[in-house]
Amino acid sequence: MGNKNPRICIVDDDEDFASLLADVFSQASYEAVMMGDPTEAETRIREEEFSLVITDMRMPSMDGSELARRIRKVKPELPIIMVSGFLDSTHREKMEADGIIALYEKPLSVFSLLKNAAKIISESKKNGSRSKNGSGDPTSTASGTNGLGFKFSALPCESKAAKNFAESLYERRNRKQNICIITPAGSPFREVVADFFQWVENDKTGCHLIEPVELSKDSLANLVSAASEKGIENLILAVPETEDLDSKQQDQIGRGTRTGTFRDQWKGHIRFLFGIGQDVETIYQDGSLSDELYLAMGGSELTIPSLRDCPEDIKSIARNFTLEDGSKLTWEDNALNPLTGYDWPGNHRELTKFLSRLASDHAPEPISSDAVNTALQTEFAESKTEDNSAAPTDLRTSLLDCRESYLRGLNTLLDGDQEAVSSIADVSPKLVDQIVSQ
Amino acid sequence: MPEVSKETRALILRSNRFLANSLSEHDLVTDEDVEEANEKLLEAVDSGNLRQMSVLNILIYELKKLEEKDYIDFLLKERQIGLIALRNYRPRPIGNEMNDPEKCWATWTVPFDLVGDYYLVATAYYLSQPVIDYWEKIADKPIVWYATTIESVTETIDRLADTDSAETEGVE
Repeated sequence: MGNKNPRICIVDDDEDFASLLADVFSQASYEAVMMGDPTEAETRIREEEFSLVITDMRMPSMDGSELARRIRKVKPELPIIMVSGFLDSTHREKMEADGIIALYEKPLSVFSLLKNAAKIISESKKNGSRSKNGSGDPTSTASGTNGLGFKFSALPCESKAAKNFAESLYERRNRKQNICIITPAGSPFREVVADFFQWVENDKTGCHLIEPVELSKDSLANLVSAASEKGIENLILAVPETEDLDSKQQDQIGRGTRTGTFRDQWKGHIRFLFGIGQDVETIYQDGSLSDELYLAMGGSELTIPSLRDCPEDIKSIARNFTLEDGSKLTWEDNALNPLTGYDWPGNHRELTKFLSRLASDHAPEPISSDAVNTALQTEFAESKTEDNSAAPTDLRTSLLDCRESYLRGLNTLLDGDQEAVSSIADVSPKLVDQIVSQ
Repeated sequence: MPEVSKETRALILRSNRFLANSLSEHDLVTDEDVEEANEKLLEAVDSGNLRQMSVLNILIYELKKLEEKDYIDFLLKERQIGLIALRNYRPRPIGNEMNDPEKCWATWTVPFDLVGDYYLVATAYYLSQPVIDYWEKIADKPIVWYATTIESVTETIDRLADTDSAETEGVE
């Protein structure tokens, strides 16, 4: 059962003062965690969830400002209060730059600190949600973290599904067990892995993405040998398209997941992030996964959400799509809306390709809703041609078919007067032209 | 030994995979223990003996890497689930897909009664989420879960199978 009370991290080498603060916060139903060593505090703040940090300024191994700067890098939204008997004007000026939200001089009223802490925690929560729903460019927040509290660039995380995925993955970053990431076609597995790596990579943890073609017993042995030479204790290896590995490669990975396999070369731990195209059970029952590899896949299965479940993300990706010259596409009012009505079976890859095509046809002119609709028609027709697998027709497909048939019928009735068709059906002349000329 | 079906084999491996992962995640056993138990599990699966296809059984009785008491204590404390000893309980066959012994062995779980609108189900695999998901999917009524020991599950599945065959003989 998780403790729902806000967690306060108190960093102070003065044990008496830290205990006093911890007692006061504990009695007010907070979970107070005391740490005398700022280096330990930095590690724990990276790995654990806190609602507030209260730190002393002068400490032996690292001062409070430095600790605040380091915290700001990894958890920019975590509020920090500085408490010290040694504060001068320089500290005050640097306060904001270091991410310190309030400054208290000793001796202080701990009850005033308590009251202010409650206010800061509450405001911090509100700011988190505001940055998520903010006006203007919703993907940009002051911290660049989409209100997540950590850096994650693979998905915009404007949608709940993407945000849940990012949070679930982040929560598992410091565990030892393997993770299976189910990656629907065209989803950004490699980008997700890159984010994961930047959360965990340090002097003791090495991270590598191994392309299936590169995977062999020798390549694993080389990674282990390099890790041993560099004094690395943990290796995190990401493998995309695991289901495409042949039985020999699966056997090698199966062995690689065993802690004892490279014991004679290295004493560290290997953790795998398996990218897999669809539900693991289906793939296993298809016979594409060996028993050994299936058992080694760990108990965490996370799915990168499909774009159709993330309409807010579709708009965000389009809004922030960057052209080769570094500029962004410009959109007329409501031009982004049609994008969310399409299923994007090819997910991010398909959307990006679509945006590139739109850009080459229209940029630098602002893109209109009609232009998007027309391009979507083409996209839709192409995907229909590509997939003749008699998949069940969805509502949107049926409606689009009805619209086409209606417009053609109207065009016949009006003797090919496309302007009249456009006016009666209240659609753009371009769309009418496109449909009747097919 | 008859070979287990592909579907049951997948269920066995999935139940055990998640259980072993939970045990190591909660530091009840080490990764090395899990690896050793997994190897033995695969041997058991190949042998076709359903009663041996359990990493929990292997870790507790064969490798002696885990005390069953510690595991049960953990479940009671962390998952706040009720514990039941079924030795003195007369299990009632439910008489549908839920009493398929193969699925019971695959998940180390046994439905033992129907009270009002609730199935009473005991499991040694409460830490394995796919086990819970599997039973909740096939049950047509809500389930009240109980934790129990491996021995208790084994004995109850056997007793239910005996009751079932006695009833079949009676009918004949």
